[in-house]
Amino acid sequence: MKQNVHTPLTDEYLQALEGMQAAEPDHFFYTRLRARMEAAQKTGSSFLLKPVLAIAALAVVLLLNTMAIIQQKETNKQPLHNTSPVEDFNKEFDINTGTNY
Amino acid sequence: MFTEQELIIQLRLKNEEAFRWLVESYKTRVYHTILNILQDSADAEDAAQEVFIKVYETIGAFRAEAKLSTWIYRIAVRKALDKLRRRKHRQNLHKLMPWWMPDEKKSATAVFYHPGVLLDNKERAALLFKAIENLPEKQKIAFTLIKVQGITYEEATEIMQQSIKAIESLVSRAKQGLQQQLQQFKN
Repeated sequence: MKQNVHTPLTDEYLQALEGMQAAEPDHFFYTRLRARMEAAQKTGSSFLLKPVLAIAALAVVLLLNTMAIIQQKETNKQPLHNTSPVEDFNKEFDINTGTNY
Repeated sequence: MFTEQELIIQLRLKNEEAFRWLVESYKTRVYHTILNILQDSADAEDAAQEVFIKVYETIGAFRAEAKLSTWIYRIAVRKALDKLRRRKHRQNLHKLMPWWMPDEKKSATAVFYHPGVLLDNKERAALLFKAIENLPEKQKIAFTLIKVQGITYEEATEIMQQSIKAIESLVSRAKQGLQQQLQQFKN
């Protein structure tokens, strides 16, 4: 059973819709629809075409880049070897610096 | 000419002729439903196209528990709601950043003259549509389907997947909400 509420103004304005015709889309609706479907097929269904996914992919790339830069900086801070430059040089050229007596 | 069963079978086979027949048979109902909800012809055309693309792509999942027309209406209402929500997001963004998307202000204040309304009734109908636009989402859909479009309560329950009592309550509250708004417009 429909609820009866006293809404005279709504009912009055609803009368303005009496005799209303259904609105129709512009001519060649089907042609435009097919053109859109074909265009979508041509561009393929690349996930990067969806804005949300494209932004998420970009965020992941930026995050990975940031992590790589931070890691690079950390690596640069640490000395490569714990040995002195003289010892490195000797090792590189295989020089025995021990004293011969 | 296809029977509903034949049409569904042929659509599943991606038959071009069947798809064309479907579009030509349903385009006015779909467009009219969406236009009544969105109150914008360009958005309605865009959403109507999306409805038929969705039907074409997902007809395989249609289980024929409801009539094909009800299923298409359901998709149309859902697409219209998607567009409404996106429009609301854009309008909210516009409020925050008015220099961005300046056209949003125009669309928010635009008066909607329904193309199917008789000339003498255009102004009153425009006021009614303005008031309908301010209704909460579910009330707007129920009221538009039943009171504007003339769909039966029974069909509306299937489209909105709500009980008949719930639909009646939504329409009743919508009428009260409209009454208050129209009173304010008059004063």
